[in-house]
Amino acid sequence: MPAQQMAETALLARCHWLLQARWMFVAALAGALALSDGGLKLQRHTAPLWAVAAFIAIYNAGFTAFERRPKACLIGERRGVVERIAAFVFIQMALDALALTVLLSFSGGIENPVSFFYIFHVALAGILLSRRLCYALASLATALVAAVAVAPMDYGFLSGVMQDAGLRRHGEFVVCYLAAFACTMYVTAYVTTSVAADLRKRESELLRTAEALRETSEKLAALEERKSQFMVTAAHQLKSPLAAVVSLLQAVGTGQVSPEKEKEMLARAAARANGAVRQVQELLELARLRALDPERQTRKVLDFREVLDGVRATIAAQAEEKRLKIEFQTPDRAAWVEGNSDDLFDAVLNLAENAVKYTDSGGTVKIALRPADGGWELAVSDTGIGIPQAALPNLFQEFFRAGNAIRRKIEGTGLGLSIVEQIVRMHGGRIRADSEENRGATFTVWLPRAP
Amino acid sequence: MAQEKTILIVDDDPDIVESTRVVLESAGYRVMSAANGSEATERIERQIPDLILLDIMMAEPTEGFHLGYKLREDPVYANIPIIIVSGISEKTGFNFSKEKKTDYIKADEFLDKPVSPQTLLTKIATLLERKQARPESNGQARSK
Repeated sequence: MPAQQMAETALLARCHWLLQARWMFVAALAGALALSDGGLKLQRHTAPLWAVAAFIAIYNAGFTAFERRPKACLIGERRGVVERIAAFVFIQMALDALALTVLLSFSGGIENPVSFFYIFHVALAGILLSRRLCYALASLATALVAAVAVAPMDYGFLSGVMQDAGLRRHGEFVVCYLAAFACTMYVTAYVTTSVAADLRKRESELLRTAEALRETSEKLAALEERKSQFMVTAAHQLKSPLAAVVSLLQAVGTGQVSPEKEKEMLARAAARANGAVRQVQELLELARLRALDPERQTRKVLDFREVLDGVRATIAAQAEEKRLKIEFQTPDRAAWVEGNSDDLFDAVLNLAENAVKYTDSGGTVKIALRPADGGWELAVSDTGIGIPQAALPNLFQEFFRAGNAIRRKIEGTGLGLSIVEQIVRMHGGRIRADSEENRGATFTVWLPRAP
Repeated sequence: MAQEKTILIVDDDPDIVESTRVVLESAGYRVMSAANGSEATERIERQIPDLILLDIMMAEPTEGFHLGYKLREDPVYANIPIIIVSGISEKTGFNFSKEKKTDYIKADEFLDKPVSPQTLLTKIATLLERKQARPESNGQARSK
């Protein structure tokens, strides 16, 4: 999971800043103490403070070594890596708070403004760690400061070493101070954790957006690829009949064919040219349908039975010519669908014409409409040559024609079903083909009921 | 024509077969035809043609390649000149899988459909002459 890994790397980088910042603090503290010892006399007894500086330097060195060496050991196991890094950071911060407390004890106690250095840690914890750890640190800081405030200052040999302006002897001052301090700590924790949570949310949103963008661009690239492939296929499909036309005309041009043969070949040439024209028309139709914006379509609620009536009138002559029995089954009540009646008519007619085309004389074509699944289901079935199992998945692909249709020399552009599918899809419906070779075919179209 | 040469046209488009037959017969060739790979194999087994005009895309998109490859592998048929006559050409960028060896055969000539009768007859004559000049040598070399 890349997002998880990013969180780990980000946390490790910030943990590194913390180590750097601590070195700076050690340097600043040492500098101040050196100045004090050198004559500024900011502080009477600097020895304990030097000790604190040394303590911080030692544990920081330890953490730095640990941070350098075991990136592997921190990230090694996948589970809970972020939690382990967070624990690592929290231990450092807790030690910082402790060191700061000791520092405070030897440099004026709660009256030393350095006490507000705790804010820095709480804020950082809010950014780096979980809400829970941040509040834990705020509580720890409050407790430590309270301890400094109420602890006796005369630790035997240390008495006199500690500085004390005396304000802490006033109980009401200590109470007010601690209340203010606690408030500051918790408000800081609250604000930073809230802001950090918000930032984290936005970060993950950004990640998701980037991911979605990448997916979209991949999809677009695939679409582009498909489009150019389609161009090549379309050009080839148009080239075949044109090549046949040219070839036939050239053959006639040799002057070596009998007049009857010549007539026949010219008729064939015309038929092939017509086939090419039909292919171009259907390509244009497909392009028109694909370019339509479904949102901006003017749609009317219509009775699907009326569409079927139109198809029945158109197909009757063709069916009769082939001596096919044609049956229509429509419900008694209106079948309301929303859409474009011309397009729906084209789709149904296409399916009906296919059924007639691929069924031998004496067969039956059945067109049945029935309510189903919150919509209307139209089944166009025939007793024709059927579709080989292997061809079914490619049936709606442009220019695809099943092998048995080609073998029987049944003419077709290979675009009809693509157009039908496009129309059905535009109407929010679906289409399915069920067939077995030589056992007829059934095309089932489902359209949603008009709202 | 002194000696009648036989040419096999393998194409699934009957109009192409018909018109090519007219052109070839008018030039004095004997013509056989086949609409697919297996039909072509059958014809060749019955009578070895002097030359084959081969379409690539038939019922299967690479049927012609398969037939051509099969013939090139067989020492008996390896020296029959093959002219691929097809709507697909390298120029149109049709993508055949390059991994499959069977998709590439060494045809003697590659003509883009539609072919003018003149070009077709010239190419056929050239190939037949070349074959005449070194009879069977090709096949012998391949069969080793």
